[in-house]
Amino acid sequence: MGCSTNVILIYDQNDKIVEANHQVKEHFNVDAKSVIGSKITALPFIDYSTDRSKAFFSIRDTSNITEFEQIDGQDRYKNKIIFEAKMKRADGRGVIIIKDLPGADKAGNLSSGMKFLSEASLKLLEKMSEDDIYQYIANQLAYLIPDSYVFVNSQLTQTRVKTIASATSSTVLGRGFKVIGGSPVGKEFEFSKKAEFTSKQAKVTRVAGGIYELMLGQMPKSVAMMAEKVVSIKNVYSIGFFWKGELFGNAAIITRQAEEHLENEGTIETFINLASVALQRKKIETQLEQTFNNLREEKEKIKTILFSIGDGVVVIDNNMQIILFNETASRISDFKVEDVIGKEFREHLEFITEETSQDASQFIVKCIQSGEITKMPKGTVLKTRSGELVPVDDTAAPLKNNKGEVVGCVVVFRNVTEERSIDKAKTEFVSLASHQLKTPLASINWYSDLLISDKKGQLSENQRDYMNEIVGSSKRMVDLVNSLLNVSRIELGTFVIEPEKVDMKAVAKSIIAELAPMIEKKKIKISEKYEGVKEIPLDQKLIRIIFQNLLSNAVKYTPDKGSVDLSISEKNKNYLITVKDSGYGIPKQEQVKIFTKLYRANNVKDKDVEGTGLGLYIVKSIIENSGGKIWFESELNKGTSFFVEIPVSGMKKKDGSRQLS
Amino acid sequence: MANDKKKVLVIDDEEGLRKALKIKLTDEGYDVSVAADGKSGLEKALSDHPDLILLDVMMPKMTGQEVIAELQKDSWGKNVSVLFLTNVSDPIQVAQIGEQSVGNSTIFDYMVKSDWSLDDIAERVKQKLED
Repeated sequence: MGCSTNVILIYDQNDKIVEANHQVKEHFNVDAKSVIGSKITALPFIDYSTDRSKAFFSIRDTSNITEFEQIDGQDRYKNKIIFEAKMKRADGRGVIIIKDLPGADKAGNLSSGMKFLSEASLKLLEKMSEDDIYQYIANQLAYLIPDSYVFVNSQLTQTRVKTIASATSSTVLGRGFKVIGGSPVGKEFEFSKKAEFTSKQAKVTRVAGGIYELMLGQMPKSVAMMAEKVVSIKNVYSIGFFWKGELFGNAAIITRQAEEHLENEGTIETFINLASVALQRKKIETQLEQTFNNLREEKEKIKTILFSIGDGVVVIDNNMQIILFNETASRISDFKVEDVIGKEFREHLEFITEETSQDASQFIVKCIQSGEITKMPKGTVLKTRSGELVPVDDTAAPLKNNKGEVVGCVVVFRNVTEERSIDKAKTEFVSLASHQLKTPLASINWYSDLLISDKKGQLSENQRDYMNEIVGSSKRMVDLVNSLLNVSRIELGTFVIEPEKVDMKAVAKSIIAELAPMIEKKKIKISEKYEGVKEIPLDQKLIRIIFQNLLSNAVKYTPDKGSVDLSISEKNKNYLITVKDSGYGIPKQEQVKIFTKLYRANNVKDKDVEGTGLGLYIVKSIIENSGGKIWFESELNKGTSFFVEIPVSGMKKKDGSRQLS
Repeated sequence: MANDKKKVLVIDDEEGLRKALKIKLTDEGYDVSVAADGKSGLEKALSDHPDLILLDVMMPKMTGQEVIAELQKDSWGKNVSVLFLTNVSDPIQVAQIGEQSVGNSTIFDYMVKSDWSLDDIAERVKQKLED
């Protein structure tokens, strides 16, 4: 103090001057001893000027004390904090106000330690960023430990450390570090071995190897030793930040104090513990905020997606209550979102079958009960708020929690008015066209009949012949129109499958009976084999079409005296129907096209006068639509075998508006 | 004796088919009258009281269904024997027509014109008149 050219005034918490150096006398011509005990604010000779450009300043204006900053690189005087006025006096000298520290005496004053800690805990609760907390720790440690340089590091990995903050209460050390390479704040250091030892405990630990050991070999030993010598480093300490037993950072303290044990160790340790908690809390807060923001973003995204989905989306929980209702659903049904949320869905959403006006909402209940995707029955309409019936279509999918339990279902539906009216128009057109086509055919047939049977004028044999040709062609036309009608029903998907208990054996036998004339004429040998054929659910008409087609093809495409073998047997939960003939066979290159519409293979084109070429296409469509399979094997001039597999459970029911004929 | 002949009324908007049916059924020995649309057909039915009506389904002015509906209102009409003739070959459609218009299934019967010859139709007519 005696060497400083500055005025040094030291005051305590009560702003009373406890020490003044002789410079007071020099500058203010007041005996140092006489100012002791006075309040700084009461000193007559020191004036803070409100005009900061002037060198003089009056301490009477104590608000200006905030202009005094804690600085590093200044002399410490007896463990006190030094503040220097921002402005210097005209003569180049400055004023240093020295503030007394709580708990600064060697005995480690308990009450001042407590005061420090309570102030620190309050401070740590403030909204500070993580980096600010680190800086605060550095500042307070430098404040608590005389003549020290403090580094606060965050442990990034086992071997990687980043210096977050530093503070010093020693001019010499400050200058010394500048020489070495400036403040390392912001730098990351990779250590060749684990940096544990520097922070093994949440206690102040003396680092015996000094700077060199602290730096873990990052700094050459010679440099470390020189540094210690030049700036008279006496001791190096470290204290770790721990959370749930894990180290996440440390404070390294370099001091010029000779004592082996730090003063205020207890206070320091408690402070570091408080700070660790604050830091963790900060980390958690940051994570929570991030998660919260992410969630909010996600929620907004979902909301936007739901809003813009073109289909109506309704989410219903296990109690049949609506928990979500999107814009499109609201638009289609004309109910406001807030009116339906939380209410039982049947209160507002009436799904009914247009034809029968019956409740069609079973698919929702079924979805929740079975946990499977269900489809709205065909012809479903939704009753809007105004009572209008809107044709809708789509599905209900189960909503499951992460245990796999069904907690509700998501119903998606769209307005299909246009689709349905187009479908209806198509179906009606096909019906109308077939009706228009068949009327003249009936006329041809009937008048041909009348001609042939006319008693008043006999036909010549040639004329009779010609009439038969006409009738024959006309009948073929009728067949063709009927087949085309079936094909269009298949393509529109409008045909219905209505299973009932049917005995395939009986159907097969009746078809064979129908074909008896042709079989006899061509002298075909027919064999039948039935193994364990039981009654199963089948559509009467459709199974008849299948047998009719396969058996008549077999007979048609087999030359005279050939054979046709039919067998129906059960294998692996399926019935296998085999129709084998010893006929012309299907050429290899034509086999792929056999199931296509109107196809007739080259080798039989001239042999078959009758037949539409649509039979196999229709049969394949029927079989595949009812859950079965069809395939064949064939060799030219040896014969063909057709195989049909139908599950033992029978044909699946199919909704539709038309039957095949 | 004209009174012993059974009376058959053919209601169909297709002239050719109407004529063919009249020729065939007259040949079979029935007293056949015809009508070209539902409205005049209904009038004829209510005035002549035929024993059997051959009724086309798809007709202008009044469809076959509508004729039946009107007949149902008449004390004689609700018991008359009807054979629907149609080229609508979809059994479901025809069944719907039948169910909607005629409650009594013994009255309801139909044939698809293009699938049957005149002989077959004459045969069915004979059966129905014998019932």
